[in-house]
Amino acid sequence: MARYIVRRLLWALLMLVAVSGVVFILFYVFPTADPAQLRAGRQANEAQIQAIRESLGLDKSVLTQFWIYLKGVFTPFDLPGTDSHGPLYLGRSYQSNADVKDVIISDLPATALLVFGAVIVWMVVAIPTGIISAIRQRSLLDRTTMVTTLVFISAPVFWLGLVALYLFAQDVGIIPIFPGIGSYANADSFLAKCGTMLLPWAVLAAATAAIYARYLRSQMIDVMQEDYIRTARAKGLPENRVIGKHVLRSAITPIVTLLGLDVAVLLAGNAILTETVFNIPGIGAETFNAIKRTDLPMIQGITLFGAFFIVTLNLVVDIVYAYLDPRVRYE
Amino acid sequence: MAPPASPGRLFWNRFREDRVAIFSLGFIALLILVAIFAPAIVSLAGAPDPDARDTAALDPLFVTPTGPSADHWFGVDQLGRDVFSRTIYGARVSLIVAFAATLLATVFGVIAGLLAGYYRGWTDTVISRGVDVLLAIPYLLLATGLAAACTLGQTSGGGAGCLGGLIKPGLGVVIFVIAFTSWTYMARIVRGQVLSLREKEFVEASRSMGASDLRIVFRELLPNLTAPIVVYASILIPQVILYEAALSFLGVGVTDQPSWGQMIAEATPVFSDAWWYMLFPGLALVFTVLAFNFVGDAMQDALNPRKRRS
Amino acid sequence: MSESNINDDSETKGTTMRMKVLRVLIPGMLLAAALALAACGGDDSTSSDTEAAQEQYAAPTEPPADAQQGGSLDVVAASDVDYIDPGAAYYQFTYMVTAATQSPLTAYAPADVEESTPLLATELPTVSEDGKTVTYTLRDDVEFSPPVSRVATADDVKYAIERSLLPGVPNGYVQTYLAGVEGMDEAIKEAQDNPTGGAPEISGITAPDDTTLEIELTDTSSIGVIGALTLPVSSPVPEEYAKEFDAENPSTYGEHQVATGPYMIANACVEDADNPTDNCDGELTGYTPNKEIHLVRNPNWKASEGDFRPAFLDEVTIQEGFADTVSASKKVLTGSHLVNGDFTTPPSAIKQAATEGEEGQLTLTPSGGNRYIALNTQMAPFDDINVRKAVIANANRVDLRNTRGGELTGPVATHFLPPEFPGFEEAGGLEGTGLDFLASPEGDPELAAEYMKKAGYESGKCEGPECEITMVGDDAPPGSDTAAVAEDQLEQLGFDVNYQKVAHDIMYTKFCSTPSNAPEVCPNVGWLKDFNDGQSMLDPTFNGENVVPENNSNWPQLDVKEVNDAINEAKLIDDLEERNQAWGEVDTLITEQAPAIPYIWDDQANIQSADVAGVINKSNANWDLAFTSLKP
Repeated sequence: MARYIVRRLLWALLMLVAVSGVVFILFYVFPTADPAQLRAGRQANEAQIQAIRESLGLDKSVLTQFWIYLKGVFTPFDLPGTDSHGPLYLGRSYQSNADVKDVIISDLPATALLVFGAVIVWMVVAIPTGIISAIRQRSLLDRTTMVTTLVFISAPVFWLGLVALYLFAQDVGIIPIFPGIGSYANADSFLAKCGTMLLPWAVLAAATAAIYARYLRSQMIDVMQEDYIRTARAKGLPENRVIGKHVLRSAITPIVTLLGLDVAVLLAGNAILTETVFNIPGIGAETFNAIKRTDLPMIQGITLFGAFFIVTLNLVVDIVYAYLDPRVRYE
Repeated sequence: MAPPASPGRLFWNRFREDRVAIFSLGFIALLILVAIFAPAIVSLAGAPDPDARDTAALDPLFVTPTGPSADHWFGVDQLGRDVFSRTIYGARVSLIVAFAATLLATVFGVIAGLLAGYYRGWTDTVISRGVDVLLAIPYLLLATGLAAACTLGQTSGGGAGCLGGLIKPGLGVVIFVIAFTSWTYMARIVRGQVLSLREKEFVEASRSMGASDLRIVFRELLPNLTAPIVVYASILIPQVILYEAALSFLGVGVTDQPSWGQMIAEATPVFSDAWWYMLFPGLALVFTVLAFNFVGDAMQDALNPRKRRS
Repeated sequence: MSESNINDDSETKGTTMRMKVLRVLIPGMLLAAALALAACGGDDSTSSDTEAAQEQYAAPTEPPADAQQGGSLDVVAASDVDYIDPGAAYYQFTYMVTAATQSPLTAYAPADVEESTPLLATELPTVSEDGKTVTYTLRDDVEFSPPVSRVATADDVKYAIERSLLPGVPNGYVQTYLAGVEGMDEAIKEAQDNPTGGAPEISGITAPDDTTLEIELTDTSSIGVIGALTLPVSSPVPEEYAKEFDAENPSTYGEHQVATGPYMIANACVEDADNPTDNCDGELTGYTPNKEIHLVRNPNWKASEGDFRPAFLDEVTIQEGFADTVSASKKVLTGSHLVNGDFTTPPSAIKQAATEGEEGQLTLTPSGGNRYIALNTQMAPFDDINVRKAVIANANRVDLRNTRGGELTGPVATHFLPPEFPGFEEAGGLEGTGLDFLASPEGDPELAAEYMKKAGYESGKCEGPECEITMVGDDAPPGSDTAAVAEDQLEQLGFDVNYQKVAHDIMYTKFCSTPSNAPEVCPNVGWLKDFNDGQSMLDPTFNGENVVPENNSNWPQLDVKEVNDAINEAKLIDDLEERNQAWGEVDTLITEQAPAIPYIWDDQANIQSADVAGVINKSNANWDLAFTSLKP
């Protein structure tokens, strides 16, 4: 087990470096604009731009720049003679000059509340829906559910958000029952914040709940055709024990894997559309603002940070899996 | 006893049973016609050009958009532009991007998958690990960031776009960015298929007869890969449509012609008042994506009858 | 100062800005708008509606006779003040706070349009015979809030002005308008050489005794000086208290400020409102950036004949972070004890206020600002005045104006000085300067073709490689709507327009305000007065001598000797009537040069809850917190 963990850790570390490299190439080498000029902002003259170019190390070769960049990301302490402080130094915003890491950390709570709330909503909706549909396969209920879920999968989340606001938001809605746009920033208590998240949770969870319900259903249908389930049935086990004990257990395992990845991707900023529509000051909304100002270090920093999140969560999932299923360790 | 049907015939027979899928296929065909003949349809309907501003249609005192009327079936936007004709024209961007980006992602994914699966060894390692790395990057952020970066510098003179100006801002960047972040699953699927196929007898036979790699790939492997490739591509299309809409909504999509995502973005500041500007492009998106999803589902079922859905 | 729109809120903090700050301007409405439209042959069918509407929504500049004392008001805002330090504040929304908490020498009372009213001074300043000495006499009963709690003197005003030169106090206007003060250049240099060495001495500002402040000038720019001293920078700052904060760069006096107005930003000294103490740390407890500003009564302020502010309310809380202005507006309209703060009341909310709101909930005030589409006079094809005239003649300015919300958001501009502003009537009032290319608000394509022919384009349309032009505009409405209409109109004249959409602040900083990177057309620029004098409208925006490599605000880069000379002369006129006449003439001269398409004189729409008796400060075009009260 220890060997396996070490191997996975090393691999994850390698992934992190590789991801940093890819992100660096994509954002530094692909586009043609001059980062120094972008950073210089309002009052710059040629001398200042030159100074910034030097302080950012833009006068050095691309490889040297990448090395400096890597050092900033991976050194766990302040690097003397540079801007870098602490681990995960992702650069500074062109716009506000704020440390990207600090910005991400201050945005994380809102995104976390949004994502974890939505996870609860979609699991609570998806699991029963999937089970019922699988048991009542081809019934009217099953067919209706499957079409409904497909509609939710087909609707753009930002549009769903606007429709939900139009229908239910307290400030602009026809049936004003839920807190509306921008109420998050002004909610004081945790409970109030959760209240303002009700609509965003529902909207963010809709498509994923639909996907999970469909996935769970097809997994269960597959499992129910397995021989050992037939055997269990033949032995006369009551149907709800067959479903509850055998079918569900093996059908839900892949869902949990999926969940880990989905949570990581959403925390990493893929909740950008929901956050934008509902004005939730999270990582996605930060990215949106950065896009509007072509604040590349910010976009790049958030992307890399998100990638780290995904790699780390994958690592955790792998290790947990290996713990649960010893065969994996010797694959 | 009738002779056994070919796999393609079998597939089609199974697909045909799904009436919703057939209906969806018809809808998609209609949509393609709408996109191609958008100008004719708009003028036939007596609607104005999508960029024409009918300022008289705006509220005279507040100059706010007005809703559906005889002159403007779907109402007008803040500038007095006809929402109906913009929605019709919007089909163009959605479909062009859907097909082009899917095609590009498919070609790229198939090539990568074939190389990895056929040559194995270090080729496989490089490609598969590369895919792992790309999959670890949040795709929506990567795409918006890339699209923004590729549009940068356009006004300051100098090179605009990406890859030394090879990819131009606008439709080109959108298609490239979507394809770039979507080919990975296709590559994985193809690789897996090739890995199992290359051990099959007929491939072995062909190799022992001294067939070249190219010949094996094109004569033996690809024909057997067609079905999974087509099915996966058909699943990719609706995702790409939503993806394009999201990029447009975030302001990094196509800007020089109407698109549904961009219309919804423009409707955001006024949606509480002008519901029509948000509603119609949204419905167009939902119906289009739904149709593609129905078709994709049916194709998947037809290919793999054991896993039939509803 | 240049105008910004709250749709593009996030403003960079901490950057010293020369002459301007992106300042929020909120569209509203003006009494004379209907007249303008009627006069220009505007939309007749609605002008009577508009006229009625204008009377209905006229901004109240006096509290009701039975205004009640006490109560607590909430201000709903999208984002934060620019600088909490009154010495650096340069933003309409911040002025809303300083007008309640500070006492400049003189200030604009709610109804003031031309001249200010004495506040810390006992009367308007006297100017010597030769026009080079300005003397203020100060009141002796104005006391700083705790923990300073002493009478403010002329020395405190001198210090306040001097500290504003420190790099740590990024003031945006003192160096411009007080350039004629003796010893100014030396003081600026001293401050820059030694940013943390304390405020530099300005030899031309002296305080012979506690209640006399004398300002010696090297020229006759006294009116500009007096105008700039109506701004918060002339509010006294106690040197012995502020010194340690000003030794830092940036200065932290803002977070430790003391007040001289009826209100103060809460600090620990007034936690127990009935027993204020001086035995406390002066650090503000009532200010959380981007979140909240909490104003309480200043226990050391006493109603006095010398102070025109009645101060009805007990408490004001400014809540920030309402980024969605539609829902924020609805909150104000349907809520209780609320007014809007920094944001644009969007058209849909104006509509709601007008159609569903109670009387008085919506008020419209001319903002003292303009918006125009700048044509780059240094680049082909707009280096040809006839091409510029053609573009202006062809423009349908009613359409352009309507992209900001129509008649209720202000009249179609015909020149640059805004209505109810000194020099406005002299420049031709609403009707304009009588120039043919600005005669038709809906555009005159024939005249445009004629001018194109004069410019050498035989077909009447632009032809040739120089007709491929770039335009950099907003990426969000309403600016992007204006730009889209402008693009349309330019294409009618044969131009091939490449419209680049960027965020509003980027449009300024990276493109339109950086001449080396400026495009041919900037469709979303505009200017908001600093104080009520033509200099603050026209000098930074059209004087060729003010074109600077960065942070430029002469967007058309107009550099015509005749105009420059006229501006420089007008700056030095110290007779008010003569001066206004001169600025009116300057405005006409500029308009004749066709540097831009002026399309709106913004009015500002402010909204309040039905139970608020708000008073608008016309000069700031926003709520005056020291005059606003709650309805009984």
